[in-house]
Amino acid sequence: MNKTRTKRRQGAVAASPSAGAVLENEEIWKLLFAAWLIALGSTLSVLFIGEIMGQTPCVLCWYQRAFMFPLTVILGIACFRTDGAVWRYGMPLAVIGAAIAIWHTLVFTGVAPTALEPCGQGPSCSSENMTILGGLPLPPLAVGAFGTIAVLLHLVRKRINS
Amino acid sequence: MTRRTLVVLTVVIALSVFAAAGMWFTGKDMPTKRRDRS
Repeated sequence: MNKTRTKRRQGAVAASPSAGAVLENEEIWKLLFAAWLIALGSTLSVLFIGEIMGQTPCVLCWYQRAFMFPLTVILGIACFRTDGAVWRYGMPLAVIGAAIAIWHTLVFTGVAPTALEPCGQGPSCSSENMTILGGLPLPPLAVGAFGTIAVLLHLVRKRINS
Repeated sequence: MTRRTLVVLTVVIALSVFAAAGMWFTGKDMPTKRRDRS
């Protein structure tokens, strides 16, 4: 009887988080929240540019959208639940999105050969329309957004594994 | 304020700003058009 009670008490102590664990949890949530804010801001910005300003996205922009939109949803849910394990799902999306954004930046700046440009028909991947706020180019901004999200998710991973 | 409340509040604010910016951007010429019609 006494043994059972002691076990229950021990279980309760183990289940209740220590001060260190709470702080760690708080840090993980802040990192997730920052990553989610970047994804949310990027998603709403590209929707604004595409749907409201009427600037048709090019092929590479569509590929990047395909990786940014799910990030917004899964990072939002992860923030809501404080689920640090989301880095396993978010990291591949962020890294692949960053790779496409780097490719787009190289095409935009003219470093990559024209043969690598997938935008044959429709809006050009390297036109001067790819700017916002008076000349700020969109492809490097996308690299920054995907890169920052990847770094933040990496920090989440480090916090969980430590 | 709990974390969950903050997340929900952020969604609400972000969508409100998006909607307001959209209305501002698409409707900013409306007063001129109305004046022309009258």
